[in-house]
Amino acid sequence: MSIRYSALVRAVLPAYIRTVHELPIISRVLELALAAAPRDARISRVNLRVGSLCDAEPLWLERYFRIAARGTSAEDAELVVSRDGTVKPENAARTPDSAFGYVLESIEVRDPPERTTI
Amino acid sequence: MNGSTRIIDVQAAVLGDNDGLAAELRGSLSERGIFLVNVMGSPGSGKTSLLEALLPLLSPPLRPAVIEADLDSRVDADALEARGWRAVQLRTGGFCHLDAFMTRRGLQELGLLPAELGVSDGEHYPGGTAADPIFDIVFIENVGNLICTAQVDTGAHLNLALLSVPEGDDKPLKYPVMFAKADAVVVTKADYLDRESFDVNEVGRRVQGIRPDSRIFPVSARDGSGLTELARFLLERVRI
Repeated sequence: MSIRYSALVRAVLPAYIRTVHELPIISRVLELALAAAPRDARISRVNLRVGSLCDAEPLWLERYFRIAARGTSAEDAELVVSRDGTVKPENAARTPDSAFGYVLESIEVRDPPERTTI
Repeated sequence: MNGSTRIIDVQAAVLGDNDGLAAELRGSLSERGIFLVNVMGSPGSGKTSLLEALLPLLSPPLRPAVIEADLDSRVDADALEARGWRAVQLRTGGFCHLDAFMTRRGLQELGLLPAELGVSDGEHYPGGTAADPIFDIVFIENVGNLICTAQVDTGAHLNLALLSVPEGDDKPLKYPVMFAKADAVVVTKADYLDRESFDVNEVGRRVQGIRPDSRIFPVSARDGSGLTELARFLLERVRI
C-alpha cells in the first residue's frame, strides 16, 4: 500500500467509500504520471486505458483522481479514460491479460514559460 | 506567457509492480515446495467455515497455514487458531482486496519469508529454514468481495471462488471476471440446496461457459459433504 494512498484514505475519504479498488489504482496512476513528468512542468492531461474486463468505473476514477492530485503538478489535469470494449464477459477466460489491465498511455504536460532577461 | 504543451508517451502497466512481485513470490514459493491458494468469495459465503472443515482433511500429509485478510478485526484468525491452526491476520484498512505486497507481509508473518529483505536471500527463516519451511500449503482468505479480489494477482498458485447457495446461482453471470479467474468454484452451504432454488448444474454450465477448464465442487462445511473431493483436488494440485 503506497504512502500516498494511505494518507489519502485516512485524511480525505469517509470509511464507507474506502472499499473500492478504483482508489489504489488511481493512486498508482498518479504516481506514475508524476514520475514521468519533467520537473517544473504542469500535467494537463492523463490518458489511461482500461481493459475491457476491468471492473473499474470511469466516474469514480475521475473523482478520485481529482482528490488524489490536489497539491501536485497534476491538480488541474484532466483524466481521460478510454476503455477497450472488444471483449465480451463470456469470453473472459480466452482473453489476454491486457483485458484485465490498466495502462497509463501518455501524459500531456505544459512546460513552464521561458524566462526572459532584460 | 504560457509554456509549450507536449505529449509524453508512458505506456506503463499500472499494476505492473504488483504483477512482478506476484510472479516473484510464486516462483520463490514453488522452489521451496510451498503451495499458495487464494480463497475468494462474498462476505458470509463461508470462507472461514470451509477452511475450518477442510484443513483437517489436508493435514496430514500437508502442513497448512492461513493468511486472513479483512478490513478490520482478527475474528477469523482467532477462529482458526482456536482450532490449533497457524493463522495470521492482515488488516487491510481501506483496501478491498489483497495484493502481492500484502501477501508478502503475510508470508513474512508466517516466517516463510525474511522480515525485511527480498524474497529469496538465503537468510534464516523463523518458520523453518529457507530450504525446509514448516508449512507447505498456505491459504489466503481474501477480503469478502466478488469484484475487487479478482482484479489483482496475489501471487497464488491456485484461485478458488466460493459461491454459497443462498447467494443464488446467477452470480457467474453477474461477476464473470471472478469466475474467469477462478481455477475452481466451490459451491458452499450445499446443505441448503433442498431449501433454495439453486441449480448446481446451471452454475456449472455458466461457469464453464466463461472458463471451460474450471472445476465445480458442491460442499457443506456443516455436514461434510463434498469436502473429500475438494481435498483430493487440492492434494493433486499440490503434487503437480
